[in-house]
Amino acid sequence: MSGGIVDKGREGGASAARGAAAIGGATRGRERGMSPFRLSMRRLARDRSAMAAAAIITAFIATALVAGTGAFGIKEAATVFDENSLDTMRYLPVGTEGHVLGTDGFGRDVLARSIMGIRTALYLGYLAGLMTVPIALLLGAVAGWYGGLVDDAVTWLMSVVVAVPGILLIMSLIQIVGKSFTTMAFAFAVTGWVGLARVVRGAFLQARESEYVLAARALGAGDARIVFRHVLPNVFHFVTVNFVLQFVGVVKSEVFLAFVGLTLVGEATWGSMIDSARSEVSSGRWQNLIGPTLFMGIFLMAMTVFGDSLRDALDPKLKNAEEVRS
Amino acid sequence: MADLIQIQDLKKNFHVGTGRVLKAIDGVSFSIREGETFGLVGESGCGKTTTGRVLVRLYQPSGGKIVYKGKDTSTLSKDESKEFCRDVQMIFQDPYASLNPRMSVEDIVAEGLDIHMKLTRAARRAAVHELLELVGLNKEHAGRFPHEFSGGQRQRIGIARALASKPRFLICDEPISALDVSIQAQIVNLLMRIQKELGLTYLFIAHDLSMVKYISDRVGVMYLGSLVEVADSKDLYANPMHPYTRALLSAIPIPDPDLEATRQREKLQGEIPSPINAPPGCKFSKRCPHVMDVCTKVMPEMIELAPGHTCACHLYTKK
Repeated sequence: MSGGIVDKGREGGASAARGAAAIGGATRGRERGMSPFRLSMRRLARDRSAMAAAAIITAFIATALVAGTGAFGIKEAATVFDENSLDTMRYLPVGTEGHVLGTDGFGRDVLARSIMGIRTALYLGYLAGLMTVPIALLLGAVAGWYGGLVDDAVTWLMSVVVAVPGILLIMSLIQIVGKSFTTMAFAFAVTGWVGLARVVRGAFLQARESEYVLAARALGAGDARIVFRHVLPNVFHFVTVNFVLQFVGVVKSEVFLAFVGLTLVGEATWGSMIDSARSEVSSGRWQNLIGPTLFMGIFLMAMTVFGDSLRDALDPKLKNAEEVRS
Repeated sequence: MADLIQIQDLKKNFHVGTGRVLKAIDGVSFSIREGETFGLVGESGCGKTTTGRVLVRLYQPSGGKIVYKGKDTSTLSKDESKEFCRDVQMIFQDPYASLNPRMSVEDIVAEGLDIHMKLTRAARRAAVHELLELVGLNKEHAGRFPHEFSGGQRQRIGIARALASKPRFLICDEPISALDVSIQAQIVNLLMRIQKELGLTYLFIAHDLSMVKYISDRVGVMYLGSLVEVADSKDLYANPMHPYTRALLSAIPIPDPDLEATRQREKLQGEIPSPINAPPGCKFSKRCPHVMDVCTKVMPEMIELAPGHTCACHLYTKK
């Protein structure tokens, strides 16, 4: 927390200087002030663990993008599959030359497959987020803005979705609609929007009665102007943080779904790899467990750390509240 | 001088769950003359703020009429509505809540300009700079954000925002009660200077009686959604008639310890009753030291007791 103290000291000094400038009038003031967003970004940039996590995430994304183009033969090594061979015992142990993490029964390189697994995780997480955010924003905003019966209906819907175990809903949705990444992402969105929608609803409820919205109304601002200029910018940070943290949930759920058999056969996903490891570990073949677990562990940790830091950086009030408590 | 705005038997009810009605404003009538400052005082929850918000049309009145420049505001056409928006502006109580933290001062002040006139970037900027200087800030402040300002400076920004649309009538909703005492005088003086320069009319809502005396030409005293007394400022302070006004005035501390220790204070008993299910008759009857039988049964009407001095109290009704 030493960073926080330094930060406060500097800000205090700066505001004292500004005060002097305002009273004296002679001192040259800064032309542009620091917007809350820029302050947040500065806080985030000073947070070392967040920056380390961001570096790891960037490295993962870069690796996934490079691997996807077919460079270094990663894609090839992950999918090589001899249709005419019935030999499913082409395992190579961890540490084999050319196959650092070994190969699975089909002779596919585990490292390459783990890397390709990043693509799946990123794609799923991104797609799920992309579907969740509009649902949550729309329902939360409508409920908070209009209130009354509309609010009651949306709140009821939220309670229903929360009451049904999410993973069951996802499983049945995938069974009904069919297995595809899009379906899976959609299923995650259908079960995952409630948290964000609640926050958005609260923000809208609060904003509707806030004095700066009343001031805009008194000036003759229409609903659209109020929503887009005054309310949504104050919801933005919830959306960002939710997007990052939902990633973690989606990646974990993917593994679980693969474990109960809901995965795309043939695709390199961490879930399906760990699923095949289930039967292999007993015969002493660890490679399918080690690869994805390692990648997933590092990725999820980085995502969680970054998400938490992002929340702290974007919502200083919350952070202060926590500091007071501890 | 002519009346700028007339409020006639204004009512505002809020529905608070299962059929219960909160009468925030219950039949208030007064008028404000062009160029004057009308002070509205009363304790928390008496409907002062609601009255202000109904007047800028943030809330729809449940009954009664507001006549602005001779026109009933409930029958305004779209263009007239826009003009009303430009003409009648509001300054809010809490300078920390009334500025959007994510907008720069320039955008905040220019909001009224953006809504009502399409200006070029340069003209918009020039207008903002002019407004900032009018309220005692300078143009370097335009690019900054609300969190970089003190409470008094923020209130100045709020005033600049309200002035952007060139209003004629400004509703000041306790504009100083959230500020340090040392800053309060600055803001009040600023408001008075602007009033003189721009020829504005004010409705000044406050609970600080000494400040209201200083700024207002006429004062109305509200209790539980009703006006109990309206008089010229000097007259009201010299010769309060309603028992509630007297109690309020006697609560102002006197900056002389000897006088303060010996004077007779008219103390009020009990708490302000809830405006939900308000008592019948005079609303003040439960706390009034001079309560009579009639007070609990009949609501007293506003009577002109002296020129320009009206009061609603059975003590003064002729039997």
